[in-house]
Amino acid sequence: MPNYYFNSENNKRGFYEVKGENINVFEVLNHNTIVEVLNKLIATPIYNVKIEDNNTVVIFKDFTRLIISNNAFKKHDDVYNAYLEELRKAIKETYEKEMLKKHFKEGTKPKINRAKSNQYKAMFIAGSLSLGIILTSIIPSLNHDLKKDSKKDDTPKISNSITMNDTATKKASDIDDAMSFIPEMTENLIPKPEDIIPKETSTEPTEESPAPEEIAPIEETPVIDINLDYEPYIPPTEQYDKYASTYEVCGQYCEYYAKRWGLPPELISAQLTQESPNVENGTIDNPGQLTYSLYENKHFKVPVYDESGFTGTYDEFDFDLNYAKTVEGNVKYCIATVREYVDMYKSVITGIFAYNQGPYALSLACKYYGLNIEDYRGEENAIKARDLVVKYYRDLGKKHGDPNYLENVFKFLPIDERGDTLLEAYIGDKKVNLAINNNLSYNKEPQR
Amino acid sequence: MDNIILTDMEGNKFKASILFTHFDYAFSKNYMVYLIDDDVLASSYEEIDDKYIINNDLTSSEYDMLDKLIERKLGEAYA
Repeated sequence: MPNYYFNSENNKRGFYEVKGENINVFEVLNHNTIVEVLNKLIATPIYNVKIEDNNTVVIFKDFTRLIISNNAFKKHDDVYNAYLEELRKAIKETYEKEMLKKHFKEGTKPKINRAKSNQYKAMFIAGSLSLGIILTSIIPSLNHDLKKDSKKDDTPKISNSITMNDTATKKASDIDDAMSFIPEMTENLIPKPEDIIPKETSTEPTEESPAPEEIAPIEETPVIDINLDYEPYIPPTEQYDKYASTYEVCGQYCEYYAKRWGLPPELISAQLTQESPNVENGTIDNPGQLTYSLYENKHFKVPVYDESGFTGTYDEFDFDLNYAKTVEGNVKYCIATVREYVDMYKSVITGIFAYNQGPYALSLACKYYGLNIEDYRGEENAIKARDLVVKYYRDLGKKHGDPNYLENVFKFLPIDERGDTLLEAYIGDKKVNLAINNNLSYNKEPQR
Repeated sequence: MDNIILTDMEGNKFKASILFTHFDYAFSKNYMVYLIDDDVLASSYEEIDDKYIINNDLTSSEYDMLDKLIERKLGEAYA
């Protein structure tokens, strides 16, 4: 049963695995392992959660245990903010489900007491680290009056005679006990400097800007064929050509940001055409159909390309809700998101599909079927990955996104006389060529 | 952290249990649904200077939205 400890000191996160028989051995994790562990924790259902003032303890359904300092959920100057935010959301969701079940029986339909709600005047809660997990992803510094005001002492009990391992031995005699156990105290688990054993092969990212870890360069490849069946979009009249009207509003931003970030502009334009509502009063509201709440506090770090390839530099910026409500801001965040997903899966096609299905749909599907996600990364595996995600949600009986999203995007692509489209993009520092072969339109006349 | 303390501007304190929070992009606000003495209440909130300021002056549309959300979340909790 792996155990992990994440903390934050001097605004720097630490990631440790608690190793072996001796509870006081905390092995520092390297960057690749951190990403692997975070992805795994995000994809693993949570069994139980205990949120204390300073730490949160999480038991996952595969028996993994995590103790995380609530400080670690604050925004840090590293590449892990998005992962910690996903973990925070999973913890919040589990906590809220438990609270609802604790107070309401199944089948009841509680309603808000509106009259009583309105009776209370404006109030405030002093911020605390534990509250921050539930209320916001940016947690204020510890400054709470709850201890002295609260009639109940919620201070974790500290006992030097109890170690996590001892208690695990007592409680792990059967699986149910092991899963329900949450240590009563966590303070003794904070490592001292002499307890920390760094991994010899630690490869933390440096301050310079090398290619990001998740963008592994690939060998030069010939054209990669993507074969799909779809009907190209035929505009009823020029006036109502959805592609043209979307391009008129968004095209300049598509061209600029897609090229700058190594993606094919025509594919991004096609995607936005599929996503966006119609033009009204000369503009489009939320053309990328962003779910703004998911971008709260998001920090982007996007690789920049030119004619020679990857420049070694990045565009870095934070999500701003007001800017997202402008056409340029909305398109910019949309393309930055696609770029992030392309890098995650080393595939333009999988990145586009992840925009609709969510970035973790593929890892959830692989986990569900016990498959190795590495077999589904890369452009050559993109359609296989798409089919797996579609099958996953169909097998769960869940309606999730648009299973035909790729076809619906591709139908807006400009096609040649064979009904095919050739796209260029960058993955890592390599240019790739994709031939989008429309099986239904072989030898058709071009539509546009 | 099952219980939290809400303090009004006159210094009166109320013990509450937060059931869930929700950011609604249609209203562009953060909301929390909580219990005080077994009554289900709802407020919007924002963070200012390390404090969360609670506003109880919600419209009926906001209450309707939150009532539907309670029903959905309870269904998901027992699913």
